[in-house]
Amino acid sequence: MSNRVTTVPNKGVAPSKPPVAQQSSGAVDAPGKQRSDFVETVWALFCSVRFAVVLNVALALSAMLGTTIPQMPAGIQNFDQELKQFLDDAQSRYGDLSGFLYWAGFYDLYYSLWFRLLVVMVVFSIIMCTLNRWQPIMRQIRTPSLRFSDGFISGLSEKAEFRSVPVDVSSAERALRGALRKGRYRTVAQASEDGKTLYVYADRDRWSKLVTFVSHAALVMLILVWAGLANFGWREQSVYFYPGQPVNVGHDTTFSVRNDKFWIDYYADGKTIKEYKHTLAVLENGQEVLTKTIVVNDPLRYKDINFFLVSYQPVVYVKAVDTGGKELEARKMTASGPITATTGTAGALVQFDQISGDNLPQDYVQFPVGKSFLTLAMTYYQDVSRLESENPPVYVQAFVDKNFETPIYDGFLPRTGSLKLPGFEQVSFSFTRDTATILEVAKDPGLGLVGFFFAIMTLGFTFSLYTSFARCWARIGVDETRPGTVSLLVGGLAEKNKVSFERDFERLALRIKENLGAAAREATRGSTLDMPAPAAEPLEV
Amino acid sequence: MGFDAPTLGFNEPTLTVVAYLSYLAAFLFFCAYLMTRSGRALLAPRRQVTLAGAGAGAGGSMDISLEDSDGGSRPGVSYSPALGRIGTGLVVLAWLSLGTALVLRWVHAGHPPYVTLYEIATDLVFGITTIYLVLFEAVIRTRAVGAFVVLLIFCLHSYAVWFIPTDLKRTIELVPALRSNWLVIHVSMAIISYSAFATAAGAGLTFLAKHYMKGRIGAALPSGAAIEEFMFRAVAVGFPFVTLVLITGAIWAQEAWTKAWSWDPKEVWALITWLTYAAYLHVRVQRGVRNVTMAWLSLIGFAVVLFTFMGVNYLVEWFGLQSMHTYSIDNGKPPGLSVASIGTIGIFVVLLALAFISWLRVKFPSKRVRK
Ligand code: HEM
Repeated sequence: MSNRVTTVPNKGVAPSKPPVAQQSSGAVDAPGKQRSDFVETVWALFCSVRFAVVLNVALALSAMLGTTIPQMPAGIQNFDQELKQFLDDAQSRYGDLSGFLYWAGFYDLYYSLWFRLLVVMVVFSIIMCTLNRWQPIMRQIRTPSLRFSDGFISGLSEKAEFRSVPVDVSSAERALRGALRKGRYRTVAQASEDGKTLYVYADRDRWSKLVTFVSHAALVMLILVWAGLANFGWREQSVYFYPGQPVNVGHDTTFSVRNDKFWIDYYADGKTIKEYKHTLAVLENGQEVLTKTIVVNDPLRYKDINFFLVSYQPVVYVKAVDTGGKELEARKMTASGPITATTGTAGALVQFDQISGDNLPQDYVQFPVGKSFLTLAMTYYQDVSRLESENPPVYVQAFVDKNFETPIYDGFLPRTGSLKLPGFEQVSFSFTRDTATILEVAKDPGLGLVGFFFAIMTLGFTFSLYTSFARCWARIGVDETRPGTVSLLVGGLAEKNKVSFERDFERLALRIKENLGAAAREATRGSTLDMPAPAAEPLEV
Repeated sequence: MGFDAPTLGFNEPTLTVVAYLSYLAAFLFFCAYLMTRSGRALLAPRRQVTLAGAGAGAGGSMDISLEDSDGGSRPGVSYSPALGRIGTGLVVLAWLSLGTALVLRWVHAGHPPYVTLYEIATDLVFGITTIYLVLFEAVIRTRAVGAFVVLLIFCLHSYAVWFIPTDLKRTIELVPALRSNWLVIHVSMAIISYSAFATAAGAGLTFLAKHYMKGRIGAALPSGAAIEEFMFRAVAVGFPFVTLVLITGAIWAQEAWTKAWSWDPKEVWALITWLTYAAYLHVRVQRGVRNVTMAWLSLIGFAVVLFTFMGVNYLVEWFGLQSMHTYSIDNGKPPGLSVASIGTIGIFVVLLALAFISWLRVKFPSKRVRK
């Protein structure tokens, strides 16, 4: 553990001021270089912790700003209608300023150029700071200055002196090193040229200086990896899954997913929703390979693709059968008028995705019957309860041809049985209900890596907050005033937690004293040990 | 059981009131303790290591001993340590009864009391008390900051007890998105870190008292450097945990909200809290920053914390934002007056403290103990 150093680089003499780590400007002046250069100025700026604080605060303030301005929902740029709506709202809120705010990215603040630039500057600052501090810190750790002037010790916050100790230099050294080792210090010693004086250097938790580098590097990696990953994943925000129909989400996936069942669990009161439950089946080549019931907090994950339940919608199948048992073909109608869309064998699907004046979901279906066609306008009343076995809570208005003013039927579906319309008794309409689910499907690769760097960073910060690089310097010399005795001067410095270090140093001094006492008793009898107080103020807590 | 028809007995309302009154009494005892105490003996009695013969000049003696420091031998009123011990006892009593109240609530609700604003505010009161007792009374062994931390706790508890309407104190069932183990993990991290920052703010207040009040209180408090370090120790507890708040929140959001990070206002404010305390730590690393700056920073940081945990709902309201963190909006939105009510409580407490201090001034005319 303790090793003697014979050659000391530098002058071997520590500066007369305590070597508080250079941090206010961070930059280390290379001798002979002028700072006038612009590049140098920028470099120095980015190397300074003060600038890091400024960046940090700027980032915090910008983030705050973003929570006072409504932000555009993700992906809105792809939907002209919604984007226009958003900008109109903003216009009414901010007036003429709105155009500028939009241009300057305030509506998409966290993805705006200037916010990203701020983040880039933080990253840059961490890297520069690290590069700049690496060498001085390594030098401080690897090749400490052993020798010092008297002024140096008196500048330290903690010190103690032992005079006229009746032992020789080497047993004093043993006593000192023993005490230091007990305090978890590693020690290095060097004798002066004349051999009369011995300099001892000791330090503790050297690595805590390096942990700061590790944690900041992890922070940088975290930001870079996260920013980079955005280019590798994909996300489909609302994919409809109709009951029983397998869906392939594309993106070169080879499997389909089928909505098998959706239901809601309630708490004991029967009203408060406890859990949305959704059974999904995964199909490879038409073969079912996996089924899982997902809930909000437990999505389906298959081949690194996540299926999250985000919403659901009632759907109703309408089947129109004439007396001959023949199924009528149905057409869907949109707000702009009828379109021809023949539905599959399961009957016409009513989707309830247009919102009527009462905020109730609505949909339309048309059936050609003989020479005319019937239009069913259907509104879904979610709050009307119906048993599983009954018809769904749907309000129907039926129209013939273009007579949209005078419905031939205007009312809820009968509770049970099929619907017959006056004048068209040969057709019976039957209704079955189900639920379509809306899932968000996403591939987010590499989040584990982000988590890894996050963990390293957290550990690193914790370590650097709870450890402190502490150093002691000591000098053992022959005491000229009393032959046959030595004097020992020891001083200490910690970079953090100075008050705790004060107590720690007291304990160390006490231990040195004990050891010296023991050594003295062994060497001689009757000599005295003079022990003045440590010069520092007594502990005042 | 419940706040709408409280009855006296072993139930949540009673225990909460016991805690509330104990905090008030503890605050008064800690004030009395400070007023009657000199600075030297603010540590709870401990085996103090001192260098024998320290300051006694060159005696040539070699007694190597561990002394038990005797606080009573220092100047100060002799019953002062007793006042401090009673203060601590009352804080422990408050901690026990509030903890029991929370357990009862947990059992009653069937899920951790981590959902409504009332629950979070009460958790925070409990958390600050815990951090104070563990960090300051047990680890650092000082009662110096007790009065100020308990003052903060009392204000916060007043907010929870008085200004959240009774019907919002009821337990509610968990909505599907909250039914996850991450609720316990994530919210616990938040409570721990925010409590630690609140404790640091209490130490910050202590520092400001030392700095600006030169009289008895100033003399009764430990050195500025010591208080500053207490403050740092509390921030050092909070910072790793606020980092964990971010990471556990991201993991949970990835599961429940499909995206680890979506710049939701609450998420952003947690990030702001993190950045604020990162700035605090970096400022502290620099040379030449005066301690009083750190004290103010700890208070600014705490303001940010308070906003993160209570203010985001207001943002949603004021600026018409969208936030996913408003599950408990019905149970979480306090009446509009709440800023005014905190102010009222604050003024009330300050007046109470001033009245008490002036009473003490009269009762114990200044016999200055230390320069
Ligand atoms: C904004 C993100 C940052 C965070 C969250 C962060 C966090 C931290 C933490 C927790 C510490 C330990 C504090 C202590 O030892 O008391 C620290 C120290 C430090 N950080 Fe940062 N930091 C960030 C950015 C930066 C940047 C951009 C720089 C470079 C300019 C930087 C330079 C330093 C330095 C020099 C130290 C002191 C290390 C020592 O005590 O030896 N940090 N940082």
